[in-house]
Amino acid sequence: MSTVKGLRAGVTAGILAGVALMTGPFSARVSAQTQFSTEVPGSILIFPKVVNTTPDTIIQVTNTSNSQVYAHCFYVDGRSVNGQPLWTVTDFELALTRQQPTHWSARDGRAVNPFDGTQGLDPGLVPPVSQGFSGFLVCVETLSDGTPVNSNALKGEATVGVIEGPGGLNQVSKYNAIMIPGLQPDPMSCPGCGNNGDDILKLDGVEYAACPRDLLMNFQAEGSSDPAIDGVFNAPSIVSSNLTLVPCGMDFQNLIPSSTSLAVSIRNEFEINSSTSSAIPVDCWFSGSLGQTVPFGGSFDVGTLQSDFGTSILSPQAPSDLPGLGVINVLRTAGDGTSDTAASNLFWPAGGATVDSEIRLPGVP
Amino acid sequence: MLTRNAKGSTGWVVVLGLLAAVVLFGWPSGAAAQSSSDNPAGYVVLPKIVVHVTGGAQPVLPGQVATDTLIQMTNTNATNPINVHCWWINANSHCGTSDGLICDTNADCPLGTNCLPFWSNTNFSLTLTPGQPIGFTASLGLTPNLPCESGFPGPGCPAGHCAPTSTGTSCFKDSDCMTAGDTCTAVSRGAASGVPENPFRGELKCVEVDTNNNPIVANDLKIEATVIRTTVQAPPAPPVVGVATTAASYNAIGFQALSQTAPPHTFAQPLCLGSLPPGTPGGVACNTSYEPCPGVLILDHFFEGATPEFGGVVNTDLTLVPCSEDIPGTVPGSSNFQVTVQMLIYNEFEQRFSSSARVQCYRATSLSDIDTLPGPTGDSFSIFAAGVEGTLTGQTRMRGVTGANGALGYGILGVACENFRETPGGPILATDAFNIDHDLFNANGDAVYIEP
Repeated sequence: MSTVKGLRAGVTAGILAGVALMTGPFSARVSAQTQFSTEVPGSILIFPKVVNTTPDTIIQVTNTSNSQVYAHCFYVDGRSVNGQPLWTVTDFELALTRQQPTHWSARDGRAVNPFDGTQGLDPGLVPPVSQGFSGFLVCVETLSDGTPVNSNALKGEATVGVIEGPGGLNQVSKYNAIMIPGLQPDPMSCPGCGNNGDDILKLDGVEYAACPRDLLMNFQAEGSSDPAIDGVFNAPSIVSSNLTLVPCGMDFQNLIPSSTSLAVSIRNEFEINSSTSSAIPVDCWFSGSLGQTVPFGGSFDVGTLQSDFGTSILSPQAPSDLPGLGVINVLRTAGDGTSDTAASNLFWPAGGATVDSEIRLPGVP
Repeated sequence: MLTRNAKGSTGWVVVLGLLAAVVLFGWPSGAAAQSSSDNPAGYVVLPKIVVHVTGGAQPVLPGQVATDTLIQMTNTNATNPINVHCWWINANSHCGTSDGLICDTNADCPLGTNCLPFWSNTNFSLTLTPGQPIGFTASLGLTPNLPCESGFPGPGCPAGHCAPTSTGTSCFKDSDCMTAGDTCTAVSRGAASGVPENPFRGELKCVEVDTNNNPIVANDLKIEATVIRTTVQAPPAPPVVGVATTAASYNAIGFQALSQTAPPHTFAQPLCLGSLPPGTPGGVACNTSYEPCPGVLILDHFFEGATPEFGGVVNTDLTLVPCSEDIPGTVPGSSNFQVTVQMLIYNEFEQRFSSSARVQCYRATSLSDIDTLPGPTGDSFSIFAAGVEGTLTGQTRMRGVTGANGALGYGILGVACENFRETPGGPILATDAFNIDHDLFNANGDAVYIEP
């Protein structure tokens, strides 16, 4: 019957249309990033370690999309005075054309001046940080009017370094920014997701990805020798690591420094478990050598660890504590006195537990 | 002839068809997570392993710079041991034969012989106890015993439990387990061999497996690499003050294991990264499925010869490897398999340029040598040169071009390493390495053929 033929034809047409939509070239584009990453572009960038202390830090930010992108960035000075975090916040805005990479140094900033020595489209006025600045940088993707948006177009890297020439201090390390994806509405997996455009950026798995609860860190014991350097007789070498952490959550609206405490569990090569005597206090920002007595109490020292290599998990000490985000920077010094640093992004457990948090923007008065 | 009712119902039956397509084929959004270098995984790749140390047929001499790669590997499963099977993929070229002198170009070889790649591999297996971290140099490996192996009990390896049957029985060694077939989880096994040659350049690939070296659906492996360069000394002679010791760290690229076909499994079945490539012969099924390879690599970098604000002059070495691999060499034509990589380069003026490169098994090159002759000749005219681009930094987007359908896919992986000198051509004073960002995924799939 014609009606049956029409029904059959319509269903077939619909199936063919659906297959074409889902298995054509577009299928390669639909890969929803739903968790923090250090290598997939996102809508919020966090650079946990930015210093102007000799070394300087060069920040690279790129718009990976084919549209103009704007960002609202915040330098936060993580130093403390008399035990109180400074929490000095300086903000600025960027405008990046399609696929535009840009860079600036924390020490020099970047002016909007087509005639200066820094070539390229100036992304906006980037202020320099003060000498001695030690803190972090956060950049949030926005529309031109400052409204947060979830286009996931931003990626970034930070290079912390100093080059003085032979005989001088020459150390360079690089890490990828932590990229937080803004979540897209998806009728099947996340129907209520998306950015509501207000100044409270919810890291809750609905507006943006939620914070991973745990950090995984492989390390080499403090004061241990580097087997590669000692292996060619450039002994005695020594290894020391610096850990930098920020809380996963900030309040730029009320200028209240975020703080958290991270418990540290350690395991050495012989499967011996230990933990630090006290949690790591991350008041706005933490940066310290693994050999520091406070808060690590010697737990990472080679004599205490009883092996050259170990692994560690950093978790919120209390259920109400925020997770941390961070990088580790390892200094290797050879017997002849030469040295270099190497930075690594920390791992997160795949599919691990998450904690809801938020980043509050100051908003337009 | 269609009746009025049939015409009127055309719209909703098309919708019905669309819904049927969704039911049949699934909704693609959110389904494809990507490989990552910040999560533990089941299949892990370290694209850049470099060794050139003392000893061997072509040793580094005192006063010269030696290179080694430090590997840190951890079982992130705090409850159970894991078995790991690894391969050193040897990208060395040799003069004439696989036993010939290790070379970079024909100029390194005796007259009449050519510098040829042989793409060999060396494997090793080990078992890590619950939560166990280990570290070893690529030159030496970790032999003959791992920490907490029965021959290397260490200061006090704690008790484990018998597995898989008498899990309530505490043990220190296998003989403590009375049930036939049980072993003790507190005992690590195997060894990590060092690289087969010195000098060596290539990759390290590791898969989480069962006791028969069959891949399993588990994601507990976490690995990092640090490429270290330093001056060779010759005690008891007074130490030579070297120019620099350098260190550059990167995280391994991990692929989450997602699913596995029903047993039995054979090594003729590849590991599927995403899906089987379209040209896979009929009858070949995936052994284990993993996350897909990236579709596009996004490299932010300094242009060659740029002078960063903190001093020095920088050049970038790029290491690219195909996502697909044929370790046993069973796929016809795999020894000549190449991936053409198309590159789009953007400078800070948003000006766009393009270039391309071929990757056969392993390609390590400075950026400026991608489009010029190998070596410093012509580097100042490279599309990657700061003097040509006019800005300090740029973005390079790279993707493998899909070629003829075959059993191997066209995804690529990579890592970048920056070298800092005081002046162009001077000695390297500091290095850094970083994982390359990526986006999208390789929809055509990639395959990794392994052997036990």
